[in-house]
Amino acid sequence: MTFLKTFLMTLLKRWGMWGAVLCLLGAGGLALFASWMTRLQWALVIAAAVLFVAAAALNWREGASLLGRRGMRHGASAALLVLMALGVAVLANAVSLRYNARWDLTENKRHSLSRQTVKLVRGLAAPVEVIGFFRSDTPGKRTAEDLLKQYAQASGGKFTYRMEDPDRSPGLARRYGVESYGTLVMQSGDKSEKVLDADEDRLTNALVKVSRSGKPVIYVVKGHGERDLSSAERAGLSQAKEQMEKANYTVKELELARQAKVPADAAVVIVPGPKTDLLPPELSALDAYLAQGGRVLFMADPLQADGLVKYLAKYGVALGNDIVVEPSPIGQLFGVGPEVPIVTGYERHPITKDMANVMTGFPVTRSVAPAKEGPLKGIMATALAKTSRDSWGETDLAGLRRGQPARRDPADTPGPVSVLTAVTIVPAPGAKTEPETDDDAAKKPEGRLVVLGTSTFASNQGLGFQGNRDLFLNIVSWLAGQEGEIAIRPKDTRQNPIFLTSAQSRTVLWLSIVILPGAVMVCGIWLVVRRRRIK
Amino acid sequence: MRGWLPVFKKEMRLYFGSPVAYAVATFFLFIAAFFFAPSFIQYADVSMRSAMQPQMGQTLNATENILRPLTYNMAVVLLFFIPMLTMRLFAEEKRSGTMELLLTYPLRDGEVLAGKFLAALALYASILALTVSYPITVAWFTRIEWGAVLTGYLGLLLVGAAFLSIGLFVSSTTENQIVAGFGTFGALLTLWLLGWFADSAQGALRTVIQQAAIIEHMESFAKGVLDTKDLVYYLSVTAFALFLTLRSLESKRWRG
Repeated sequence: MTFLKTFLMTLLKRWGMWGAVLCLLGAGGLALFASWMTRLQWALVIAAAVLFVAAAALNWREGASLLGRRGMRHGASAALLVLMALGVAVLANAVSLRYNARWDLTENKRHSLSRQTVKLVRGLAAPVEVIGFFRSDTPGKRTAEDLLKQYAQASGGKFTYRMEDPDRSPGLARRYGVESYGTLVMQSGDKSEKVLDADEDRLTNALVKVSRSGKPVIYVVKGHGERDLSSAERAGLSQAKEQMEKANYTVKELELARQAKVPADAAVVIVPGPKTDLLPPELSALDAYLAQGGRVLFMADPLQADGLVKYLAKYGVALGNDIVVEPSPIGQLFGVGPEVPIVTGYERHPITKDMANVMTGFPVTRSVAPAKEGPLKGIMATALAKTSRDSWGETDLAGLRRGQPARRDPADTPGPVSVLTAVTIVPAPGAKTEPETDDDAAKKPEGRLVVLGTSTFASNQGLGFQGNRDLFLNIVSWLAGQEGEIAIRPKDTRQNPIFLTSAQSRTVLWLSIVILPGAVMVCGIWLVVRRRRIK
Repeated sequence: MRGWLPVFKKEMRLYFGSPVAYAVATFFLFIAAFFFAPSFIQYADVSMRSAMQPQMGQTLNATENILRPLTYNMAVVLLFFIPMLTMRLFAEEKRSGTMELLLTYPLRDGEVLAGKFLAALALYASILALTVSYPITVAWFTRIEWGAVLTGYLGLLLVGAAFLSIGLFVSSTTENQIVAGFGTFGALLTLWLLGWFADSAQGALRTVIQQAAIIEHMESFAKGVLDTKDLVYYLSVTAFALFLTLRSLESKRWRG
């Protein structure tokens, strides 16, 4: 027993100090590598303190008697002190790495992520990797890197990124279908998403898409002479299908008449230009779906399926019994006639957010506008796209059929004519209408409805025209509820340009490169010379 | 602990009495100007072009595009410039034999060290103060974000303090100024280059290297972000290097 005691005492005496250092280093390492073991870290710190005190107490007498061998004692104690100081420094850094505070002193807080993004990134279940395809001189590379670094820091290892030069690794760029510098490819598992402009809003929404489990299903209704989903003809929808699948959706056909119910997994239902009216059970299936927060896209061609006029009126949408005619010559630039009104201006809406300065064409369309009768309860309809002031909705359809040229007369809908309308349907009466907060993600879903006056727009013939494909995908993703689900207010970057006259720029050059260093040099020479003279 | 003051005064007299301080300041300002003036004029160029073509859509932020790279580049210049400020501090005293004199003064090692460190820091800070003319020049023509400028200078001051303390330590270990200068440069360069290796490392090792590398911490100061982990890094490096210097000075007493 006494032997054990002596042994332990000697051990403590001789190695206690080193043990303390080891414990401190261990605690520092743990804080870095294994954040969850905080208790063990503290235990190690306490053990280090105990060891240190014990070793110091035990060594006191010997330490004093060793005075004769000064060098040894000093050397050892200096080394020990240095190690301890190193341990403290490492520990301080490890702790500060884990529990840091951060202040963004830029005016628009451009180096900080919003709370929604941080929440999303922290909660990532699977690893996400971003490859940024930038040439070193691509403008915006640094901004993109700053942003990605913040995502990576917030994620605790789940979010990683790397930058690649598309010119140096063309194979990689080709594999991800990168067409322009500055493209970011975000990947998680088998899902990937391309982001063309690195801003937080787009990155976070892409993150929502790739980190979500399962692909949303889009059902395309058939059975009333609608456009064919698989047809590669001009009138078919094969390109639209392909684009939706590329955007991580599953696209299926739906025979509503047979099922009499919208499937539970439907993210969006598309009704692509029915020629005949939908049957009452089908319409009530859509009603029920919309009431539960469903999302429907109607493409209602002119002169067809008259029943839709009455049906859509219920949702505050007025389908005009007309064909929009565009006499202005811009359409001719693209080789289209007056039957294809061109849209260049859009209403502010998540669907049209990226569409500024992008032209779209609506071939053979009828007018689709919010109903004039004033807003219905819980329903808000917005006209998103309007044709030019010169266009009008021709109501003399019989005349058009006879081949008479369209002429503007008082009975027609005057331009600009609305051809695209989006509707939100607030689910239940008495629903709260408080302003949206950041954490409002779990609110009851609202029904969404988009009505287009034409189905040619989405057909193989129309989809390739200018911005039509983008607008179509924007509509689908707004309906599916991904884009804009997380809306991050853009950081208002104040532009502060500098305009210089050539005299001013010369002054700046001279002042900074010649005069300022020169003045310091002259000062120095003068002082040194004066000092020499005094001597 | 008032003993540092005479040492501080003596060092300041030495700095400003000899051509060294002026030569170093001239050199530093000249190099910094070559980072500042072209980017300033290029920025004005871009401003002009985007005024004519609004669809260029670049973010024209003067603080971000002129001052942020300038701050970062000035920190790079410090690699070459700090060794010149510190190489003399102890090495020269040792070579000329005044070290024994200094050690026999009724001064504690800590006071000698504090005096020398603060003198070098004061000289560095006054050179840095001259570079404030750059943000002022930019502010003359457009609005800049002074908050970000402030963090940039805080970062430069902190990185300078860390470099100076490392330089002091190296200088205390040798009696050859040239060796002290090159030794300091090598040590600083190593700490700086660590950041380059971080990119090729993975996982926790990457985190460790990033925290250890001086380059990574300067970045957030330069862009206008104040982060406690960067503050802790610079302060701990400075404190540790000063502590090492103290041990090194002390060893002279018992090694004889």
